[in-house]
Amino acid sequence: MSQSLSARYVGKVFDGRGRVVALRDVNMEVPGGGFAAIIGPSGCGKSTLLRIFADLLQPTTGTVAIGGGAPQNARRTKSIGFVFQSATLLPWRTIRRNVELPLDVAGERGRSREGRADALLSLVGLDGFGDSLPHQLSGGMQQRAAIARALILKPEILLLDEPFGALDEITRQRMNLELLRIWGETKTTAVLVTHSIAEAVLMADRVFVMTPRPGTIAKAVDVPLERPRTLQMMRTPAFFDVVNELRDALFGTETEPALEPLPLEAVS
Amino acid sequence: MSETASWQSRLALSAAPLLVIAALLLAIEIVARGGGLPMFLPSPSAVWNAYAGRPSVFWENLWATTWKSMLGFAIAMGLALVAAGLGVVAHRIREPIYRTGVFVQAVPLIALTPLLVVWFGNTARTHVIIAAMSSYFPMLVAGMQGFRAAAPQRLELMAVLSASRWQTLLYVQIPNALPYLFAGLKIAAPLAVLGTITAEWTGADRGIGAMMLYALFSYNVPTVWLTVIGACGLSVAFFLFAACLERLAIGPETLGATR
Ligand SMILES: Nc1ncnc2c1ncn2[C@@H]1O[C@H](COP(=O)(O)OP(=O)(O)O)[C@@H](O)[C@H]1O
Ligand SMILES: [Mg+2]
Repeated sequence: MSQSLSARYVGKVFDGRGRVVALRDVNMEVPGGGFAAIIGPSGCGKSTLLRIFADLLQPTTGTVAIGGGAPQNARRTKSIGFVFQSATLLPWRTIRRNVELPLDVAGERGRSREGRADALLSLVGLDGFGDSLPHQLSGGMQQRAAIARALILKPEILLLDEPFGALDEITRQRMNLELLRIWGETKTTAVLVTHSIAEAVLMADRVFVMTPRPGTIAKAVDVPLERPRTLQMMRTPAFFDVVNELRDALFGTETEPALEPLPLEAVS
Repeated sequence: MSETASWQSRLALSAAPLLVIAALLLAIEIVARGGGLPMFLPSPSAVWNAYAGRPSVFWENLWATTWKSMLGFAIAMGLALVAAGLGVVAHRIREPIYRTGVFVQAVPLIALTPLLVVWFGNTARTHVIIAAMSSYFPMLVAGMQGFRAAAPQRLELMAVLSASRWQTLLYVQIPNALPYLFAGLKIAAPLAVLGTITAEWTGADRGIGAMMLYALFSYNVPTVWLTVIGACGLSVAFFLFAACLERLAIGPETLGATR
């Protein structure tokens, strides 16, 4: 079973030029093997929270735990996979060598690593692109390579920070389904930050709504859709009920006409 | 077809400047034979005679400058890269390393050379030190900037993987720095030649700078010009060497992608 993930009264203050209270009293719980989504306007602290989970930042107050232990242990044992908003591939390495980067860092050489990158590349639908350089691939393909890289050390926790934000709608939905398939196969605990309500509902068991100033979790909504999820589910009343509930949590129940026509994407 | 065409046009492109130079030399020669040139501008044939009289003198002196420059340059490159690497891995000593570099750069070499001559004598060692000092700072700056230019997200990626500082340097910062390093290399390589020649001017017995000095003192204008041509050629050769290394190390496609 994969590791659970929890945050207890997490607060984060950036003391630089001016004081920014990025997070206050954030509480959340993701069971092992679960899929959580975090949604909220930009600047509300989503990336900060994810970086705290990944031990890239320390919380000012409160605690986070991965599998009951400190995130530092999880990072040291390389059980965290992180996918950034941009693919962040190293341009001088081929796609295969990029996917193998975590193996290099972990010092895994010889037999044990043979074929692992290629197996993952085919898992994310990049068969035959192992020898290409990153710039020869489209944005969506680069992001899939980044996902393969995040998975190669079989992480317990997969953290995704708006991984599909830069992609067009069609590519994005395809990537969503692929990510769900990969998640189903690898059985990791996943946390997806997104600014698309529909994406959050399609992917997650539970969606956390964050509000800004200070960033905190305003609401957690369970998604009562069965798995495996399909695009058809996006047309069901159950789907819309959750979407509406989330939208109310994000915008309040205000009904000023100016706000009504806002497309989903404008949430970011 | 198109490939041969492009080869031909490339050949034409590189031949054009050569033709212009040849025509110019010819023109100067003709004017000089008519006695229309001032004293300080010898005819090309006079320069040629200065060379052809004893070619070995020219080549021996050129070689002396060449190896001193190469050695000085190699030392500077090694020191600068190690210093820049240390500055990245150990943040505390970055500032002192940089300041030392600035100091080395700020010292007027023409004033320092006599001091070194007093210490070490007018030997090759002095010339090599001056060559190294001339090319150290550009390499240091290139290294420091290059190592630090890595996108923050690439560093975060290494942090998530709990990579050590050395792994981060090896896998991200060094490859990321290559374009900067080669830019620095192309600036520093000719500077090493310049440094050696400057040092030789203080009265070496060997080297293209020394040869230039002696020719100047004896009003041997064609030989002065011969040494000027030799010095320029050496500088250009050092630059081309750096440029070739760049080509070999960074393929054109990855070069484009690192931007
Ligand atoms: N390193 C930092 N230093 C100072 N302020 C920061 C830093 N990182 C984030 N912030 C601030 O914290 C808040 C939350 O940022 P972030 O977590 O990136 O939001 P989101 O990912 O939801 O868009 C913002 O106001 C941002 O300006
Ligand atoms: Mg963000």
